[in-house]
Amino acid sequence: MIEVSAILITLQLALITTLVLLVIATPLAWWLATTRSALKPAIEAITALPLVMPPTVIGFYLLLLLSPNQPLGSFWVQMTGETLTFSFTGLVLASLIYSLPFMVQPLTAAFTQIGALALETAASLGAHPVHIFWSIVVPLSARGFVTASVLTFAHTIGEFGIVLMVGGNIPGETRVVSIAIYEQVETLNYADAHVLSASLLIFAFVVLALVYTLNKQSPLRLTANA
Amino acid sequence: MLEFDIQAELEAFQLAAKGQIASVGVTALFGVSGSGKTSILRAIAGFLPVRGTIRFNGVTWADGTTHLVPQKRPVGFLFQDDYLFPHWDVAGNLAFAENASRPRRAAIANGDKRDLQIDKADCIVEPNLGDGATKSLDRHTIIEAFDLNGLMSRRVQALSGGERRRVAFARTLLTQPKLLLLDEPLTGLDTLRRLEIMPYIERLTRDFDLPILLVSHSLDEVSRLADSMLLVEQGRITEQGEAQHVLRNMAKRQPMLLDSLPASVLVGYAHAFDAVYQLVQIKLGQQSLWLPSSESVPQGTAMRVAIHDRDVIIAATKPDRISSRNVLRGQITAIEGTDVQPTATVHLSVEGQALAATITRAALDDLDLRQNQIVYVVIKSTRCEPLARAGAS
Repeated sequence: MIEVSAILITLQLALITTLVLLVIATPLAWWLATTRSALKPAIEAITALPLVMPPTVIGFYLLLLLSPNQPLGSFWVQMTGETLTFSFTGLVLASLIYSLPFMVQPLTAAFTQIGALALETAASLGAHPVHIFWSIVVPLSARGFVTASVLTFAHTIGEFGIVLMVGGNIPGETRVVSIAIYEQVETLNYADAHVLSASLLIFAFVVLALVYTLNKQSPLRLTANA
Repeated sequence: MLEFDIQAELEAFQLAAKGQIASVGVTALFGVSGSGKTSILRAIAGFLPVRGTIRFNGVTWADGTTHLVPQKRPVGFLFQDDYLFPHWDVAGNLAFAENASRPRRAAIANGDKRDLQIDKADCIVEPNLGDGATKSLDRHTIIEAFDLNGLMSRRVQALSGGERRRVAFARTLLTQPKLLLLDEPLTGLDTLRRLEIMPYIERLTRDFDLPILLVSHSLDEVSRLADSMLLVEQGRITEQGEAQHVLRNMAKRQPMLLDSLPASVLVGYAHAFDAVYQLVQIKLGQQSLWLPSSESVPQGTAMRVAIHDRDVIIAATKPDRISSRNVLRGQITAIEGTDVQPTATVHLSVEGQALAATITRAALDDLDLRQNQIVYVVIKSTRCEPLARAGAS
């Protein structure tokens, strides 16, 4: 049978992760695109770590960090009565970390591309930085926002190792599509594994095709419609 | 009046510049590429953090403790490359400038009002009736002055380079700056585009009562546009003063510069415009010059005419039936030259103003020219350049 609850949890996780990351990663990407701080390479490296680390390594450290024996985990237990490990909330926290580079990097690239001249021109005309951000930066990096959101959403859906280590496999709580496929293959239920795998494959293809189409389009056409 | 005394570490050298910029007319920051001109301009606009002080009309923009952010400084900055916001049309770009500068304009207006109230209370300041010819920086006047009415709904990608610059000029003026900073306004433009833009820069200096600080490494640009100038060398202001004076001093040190400098500058007033032949009459005392001009210049506008000493011909008697429209009567004040050089420089006084002519020594002897002699000078009108806003106005 098709695992509707796994699909719903996956979509919910991807959506929440994308929205939260939009809020968190935008200022971080803006800082990376504009700073001259000596800390920039270090922060960039930390942001990019999830791209190169084995998911099991990140999963392992997250499991330790979120466990009820550790400050963060125990604080959460005291506040809510629930553990962060093997819960949906813990899954969201883990997703925020492993999907961070997929949001930060396209945004940083988009912000960098706007260039100092545009920002200085706007400032010389008297515009406050907040005004510049909303009326110049956001419209001109609309494509970057779309690309970053789509990639974040898609990558969150596709993550397996970290999800397994932090969230486990609790149906209706932390059992996402990639975990469901793994379990169905383990139990030799290839028919259901095929359905979910093919769905993910098609979904990933559509998403990537969409991103590349957007990237080919001139920023003007995109922003003129935006 | 803008006063600055700033220091900063730049990549190639240390910037340590001290200077003043008058509240009227055009001041040029002149120097070779990489001498620090643009850095000074950026420091004044607030984009380059510096040590030291910058004060404008009594307001501190920067000192040890203050750094007024760029958006609060009432300057208009025209960058070397015009940046128009690509997601808006021309009207959108102009509207952004009006919206963005609203807080700054309001602050200035309040400041002005406060000043007026104080003045009234103290009864010490005479009312300034202003220059009748000066236009205010209102939207209509600006759009008119830069011929933008037909371009308002044009996408900025569809504009020519000259049109882009006009939009950038207008957009900056809409913020009602108190000081205009121009970074190499003509450099990099081809001849046709320079011809297109030049009248607008002249109009800018002529019609709007706005001090201008322009960065240039072109002698031509400086001698055409500037009233005063600051010479920038290795991040320092090595000389400042009236533009022609500073240029002359430079030429004394580097005689090769003479080739590109007009030897004399006459100041006069626009008197009449001949629309048929497109000539403007410039009064110099009792006499006048007729100079080509594609457009009418308001009567009474102060004009500066830069004349290269090689474009002046001396006649011992009044010549008639010649192609030049510009024959002036003058008196020889001095003759400069040695027996070993082929040419001599004749200094003349025309309506009390100095004019120099370089002629061959053979001609000098042939005409038997002497000090105090009354002669006629013929100026090839095509080489005269009516200039904006003479310093003497």
